[in-house]
Amino acid sequence: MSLWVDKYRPRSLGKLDYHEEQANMLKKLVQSGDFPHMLVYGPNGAGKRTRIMAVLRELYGHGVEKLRHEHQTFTTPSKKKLEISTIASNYHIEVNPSDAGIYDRVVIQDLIKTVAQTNQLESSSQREFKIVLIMEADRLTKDAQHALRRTMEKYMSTCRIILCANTTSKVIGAIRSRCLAVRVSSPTIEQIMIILTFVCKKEGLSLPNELAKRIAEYSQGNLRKALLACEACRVQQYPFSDDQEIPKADWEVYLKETSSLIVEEQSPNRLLQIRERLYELLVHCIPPEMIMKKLLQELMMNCDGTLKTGVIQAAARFEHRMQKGQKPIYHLEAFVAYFMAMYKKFLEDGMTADW
Amino acid sequence: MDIRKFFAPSSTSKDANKKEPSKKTESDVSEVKKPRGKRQNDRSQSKQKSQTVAVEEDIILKTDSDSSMVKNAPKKGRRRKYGKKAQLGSPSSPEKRKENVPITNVMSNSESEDDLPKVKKVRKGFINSDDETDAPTKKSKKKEKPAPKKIVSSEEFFGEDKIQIAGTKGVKEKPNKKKKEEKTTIEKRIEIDQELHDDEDFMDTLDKLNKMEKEKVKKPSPAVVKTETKTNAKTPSPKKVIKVVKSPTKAKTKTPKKDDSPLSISKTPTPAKRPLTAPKSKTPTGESAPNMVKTPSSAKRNLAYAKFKQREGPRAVGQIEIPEGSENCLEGLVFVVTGVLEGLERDDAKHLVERYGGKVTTSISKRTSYLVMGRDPGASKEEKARKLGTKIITEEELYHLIKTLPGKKSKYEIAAEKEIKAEQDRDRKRNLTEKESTVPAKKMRQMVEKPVVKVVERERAETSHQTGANYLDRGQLWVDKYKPTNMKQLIGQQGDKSCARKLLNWLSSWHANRAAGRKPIFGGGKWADQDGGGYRAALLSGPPGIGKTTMSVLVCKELGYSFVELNASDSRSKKSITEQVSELLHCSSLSQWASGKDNKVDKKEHVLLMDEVDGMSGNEDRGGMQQLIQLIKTTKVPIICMANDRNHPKLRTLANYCFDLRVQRPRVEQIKSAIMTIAYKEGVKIAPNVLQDIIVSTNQDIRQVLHNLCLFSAGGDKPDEREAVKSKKDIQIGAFDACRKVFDPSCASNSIQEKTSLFFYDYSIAPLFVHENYIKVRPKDNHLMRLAKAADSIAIGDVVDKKIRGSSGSWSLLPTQAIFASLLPGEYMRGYMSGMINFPQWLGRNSTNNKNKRIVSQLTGHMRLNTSGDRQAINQDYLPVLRKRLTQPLIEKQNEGVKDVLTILEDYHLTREDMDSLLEITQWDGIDPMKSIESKTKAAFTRAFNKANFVLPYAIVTASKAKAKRAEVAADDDYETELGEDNIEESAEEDDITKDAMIKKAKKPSSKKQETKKTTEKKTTKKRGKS
Repeated sequence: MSLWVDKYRPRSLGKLDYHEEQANMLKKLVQSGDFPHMLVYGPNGAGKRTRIMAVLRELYGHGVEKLRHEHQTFTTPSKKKLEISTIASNYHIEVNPSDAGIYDRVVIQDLIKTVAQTNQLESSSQREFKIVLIMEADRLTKDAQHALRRTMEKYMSTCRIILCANTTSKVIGAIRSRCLAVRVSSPTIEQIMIILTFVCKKEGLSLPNELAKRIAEYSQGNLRKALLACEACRVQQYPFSDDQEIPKADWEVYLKETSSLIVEEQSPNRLLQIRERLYELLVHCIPPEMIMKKLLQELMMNCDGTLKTGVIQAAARFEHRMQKGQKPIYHLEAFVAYFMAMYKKFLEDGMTADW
Repeated sequence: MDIRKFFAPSSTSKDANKKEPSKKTESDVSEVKKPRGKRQNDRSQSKQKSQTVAVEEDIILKTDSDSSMVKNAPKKGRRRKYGKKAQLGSPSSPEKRKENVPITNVMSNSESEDDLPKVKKVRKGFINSDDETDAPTKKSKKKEKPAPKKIVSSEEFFGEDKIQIAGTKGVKEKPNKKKKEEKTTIEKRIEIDQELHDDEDFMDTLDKLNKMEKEKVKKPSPAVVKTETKTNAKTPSPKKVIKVVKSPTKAKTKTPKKDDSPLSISKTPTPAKRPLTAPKSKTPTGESAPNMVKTPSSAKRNLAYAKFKQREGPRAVGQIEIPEGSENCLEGLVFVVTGVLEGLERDDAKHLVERYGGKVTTSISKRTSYLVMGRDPGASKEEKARKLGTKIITEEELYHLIKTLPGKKSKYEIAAEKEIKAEQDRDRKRNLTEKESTVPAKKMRQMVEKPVVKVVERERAETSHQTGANYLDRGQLWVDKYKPTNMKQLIGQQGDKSCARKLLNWLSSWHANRAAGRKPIFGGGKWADQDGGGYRAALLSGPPGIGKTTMSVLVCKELGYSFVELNASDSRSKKSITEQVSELLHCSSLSQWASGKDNKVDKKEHVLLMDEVDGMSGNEDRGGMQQLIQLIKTTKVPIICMANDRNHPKLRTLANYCFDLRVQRPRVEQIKSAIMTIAYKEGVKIAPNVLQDIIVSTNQDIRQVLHNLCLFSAGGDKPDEREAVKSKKDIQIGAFDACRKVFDPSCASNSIQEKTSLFFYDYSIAPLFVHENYIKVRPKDNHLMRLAKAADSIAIGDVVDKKIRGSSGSWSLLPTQAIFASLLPGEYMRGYMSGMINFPQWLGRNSTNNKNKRIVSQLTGHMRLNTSGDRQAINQDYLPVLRKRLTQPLIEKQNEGVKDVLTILEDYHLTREDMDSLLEITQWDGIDPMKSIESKTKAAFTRAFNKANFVLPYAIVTASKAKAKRAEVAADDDYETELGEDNIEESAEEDDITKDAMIKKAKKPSSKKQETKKTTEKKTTKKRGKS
């Protein structure tokens, strides 16, 4: 009884529900025999990994679905031991080097070399290369990315690398140019609605169109989120109704409360309170970029048009600094403080004008 | 009162320079040296001569001043210059003034002289009429009343003449004043400004004129003034006149309108105070008293508070000349300062008084000798002063006091003299009796001593005080020279509850306690024995230089114990302690017996002093601490340990076996008096306030103070304030204090250097402290805007931080970070810090964050086979849903729900720990769903889970850890824990095999996504077969 999102995941390129054209292209690519390095990128929940697994299956057949966990140990130059868990089949190995934090370079160097240096035994019946699947490639440090570029060329004969990333902007140009970039864009609202209805039908439920639409809109193109939300709706209430409330994740609710607290009162004490909440969010591993984005969205809804440009500019400035700096709380707090000062000033000016 | 006050001091100082402009001729300068009688004659002559010259100059300068009204900044500088010059040539004696004849001369001079300016400017003419008072009058135009201050000075110099003028002035001003009342306050202010400038310019000119004047005239002592007034029977005494003038103006100023403007409010109290402040005044104080009593209605108090908040700082700092008095002239006097003094910041005022041996306290008591009242004084202080009959004086009067009071002998000197005398007597007697007995004792001891262990016994004769003459002969450090020789000489250890006393009691009852078999009570708390009777050892801890070693030595001496001292210079490894010390401690000394002093061989004679125990470290002292503890457990002699840092981790164990005595730093005064005595003995002259600075700057380190003093005396100079600053001990302040200082308003005027140094006390944590605490500071205005700016700056500081600590490692940017992360926020926010400084929670939050990241990674890893998406997706999308799926069935369906939950766990390959951590990191606002599950259900679930015995596709990495954790969790739930653990272990073993699988190449698919459920059984059997 897996979650629907896992239960109804398509397994092969032919069964993909959207971007069929791209799927066909990939199929042809695989059939042509040779296969380049790939950089698959796109937003969360667009189906990158699903697509990659489908490609692998197309390449190697069912064997690729026999996955196993492996723990690998690496030793850094400073003699620190790193444990990285990987997932592997006979034909590929999937690794998330960013688990190793700043030592991801070591992982890239060691792991890929060991994999790449072994040839496939039955090259007659199988492909002559193995695949290394690197997740969260955009989180690789620059060092690791540079370590990757030479490896990619050197071991081209025995190994292909598939990088999976959210954005290419953080992948260095040298790597981008060595890969076939495949963008997997988010499904449209309609596509999501179709999938939701399809899944519900399979589950023996009837999903009202209106609700499907609302869920799709809520998900903002994130199919995973849409499916999870749909299932949550099912758990919450069945039969579905059109105006049913979509259960939100706790952190989203919390974030929303936070922003309404900011609008409600602007004072040093409130700022302290907000800091607590921001810490809370960060501690729960909610990415700071996400916090900043959602905060801005909520605040924009509550502030006057004349303020908006200033606030957006400030948000951009602080977000930029956040990327440059290392303690997100400083920047989030600075943004909130800035907003409070601006907003309060605006309110006070408005008051005096009224008088 | 404020404005008048403001000018008054300047006028006084000025009049010091200015007095009689006519006397400016050079001949006057030379006169100073002449005998008094002659001088007076000369003076009157020269005055007349110089009159014309002075007038001419006056005119020239006037025009100058007019043009300069526009830009007065340069003028100020000029004026100051003049002031200095005047100072240089003014070593005159107060007696000069006593004669009346010169005074009358002066009066005529001044009058005639004044006529010219009058022509030029009507207003100024006024002022000029009494030259030195010009500034106040100007002010007073605004302010109306003739400035009383002026009069004080004028009375001193010119007697009645001046006063008459003042009186006329007062009358003339009234109409002016009324007009002004009609004007808006803004206009008034502008006027004030203009007038101010006028004043300054004018004063410039006057200064010039009067430059030389000061030499001749020094302020007469109050007594002198009195005689003056008496002799001039016709003219009323100056003070009387003042009163007369004042009272009408007062009445007028008291219109309600006036009360609104802060300036006028501040004015009104002045007249009331005046009579009080002038001790000789004849007006009944009762008149003014009612005014004061009326004011403290609540509204007024609020008003007063508002005023207090807004009141400005001193307005004439640096412009008023601070008088020099004779040494210790304020000795024995206690001052309280209220309101704002115009010429001095509060601290400076305190300093000034202390320099002359006086004392400044903050509240009035019976012992207070003077209340120094400035502008906007505190009403309650004033009232109390009146009640207690404390003398109330103004700022100028304070200066006057300093100038006129005769120097005294410092109390310290007196004490020191006494002490020395007493000692001399004592020494004489002792030397006679003692000498013979000590010699054999020494010899004996040398034979007994072991080479490594120092048996230190300090004979009284060796270190006892000697008379002043002898000190110089010996090349000893002062610290040794003046080492206390009996317990009474210990600084700051005289009280019943002092450490020395406690130690003494402990030591004296040590053997009795051992005999009684008292056991130490461990754990401390309120049950801990207060006298430490149960302990076999004592631990003295405290900062360096406050006399811990000396104290313990003296205590031993006091009780007649001999002691063995081990300090950091001795090897204190386990071996050496065992061999040497324990041996020594378990036997008894022959020294006393042999010396013949004491005929019984007494077991209690030894004490072991372990000095600097926190320094026991490294290879040298390996095992020493443990051995010491062992020793303490069995010792037959008392052991006294000494350390600096009581909280040092090394001492943690030791402290459990010791009677804990924490020696505090002695108070500054305690050190001061002791040191003054020594200084006197050494013939070093040092002002009490300088000494105080030195003591404070060394952080109350007696030893350091003595060293510094020794150094000063060697240099031959008289130490002054500058030396004190130089002697500043580098005090390492903690991050907390540094953070407080960053925002401290009193540090506002520090240099950038000093401010950045706050950051460098600990640059790794300083930014965190600033960030943690800046929100709690209350700046004076515009709070949110300042917050935003500070936050902005802190954010930039973080970017710099990344550059420093990141891959680029630009450590040269540290000063930049200091500016952004500490200095700027401090500047923006500067203000009162509400509450205490918090430790940065970022550290705690960050480690929680890391822990949670690890959990998410682990969960992602475990669920990976069946899910897509990276950690973020898992955390943000999956986990909230899973949380519900894992808890809701148990809450709603209770035992029936168990199965649902188990399937989820199985599908996603989650262990029980995973479930716990999952619930933990998805928890918001502290709502724990597990609490709403019945314990029965929980137990059923645990049982079911253990029974289900999932096969996991991965190895449990931290099996042992997980086991421990699990035992903890499960222990509450049921007794099947044991079984569960076994199962886990078993599956872990199996997974170990799968771990090797890659090498073998034949793999065991742990699951096929869709068929996980079905394959579970098969997998299990397969695996079993393999293993």
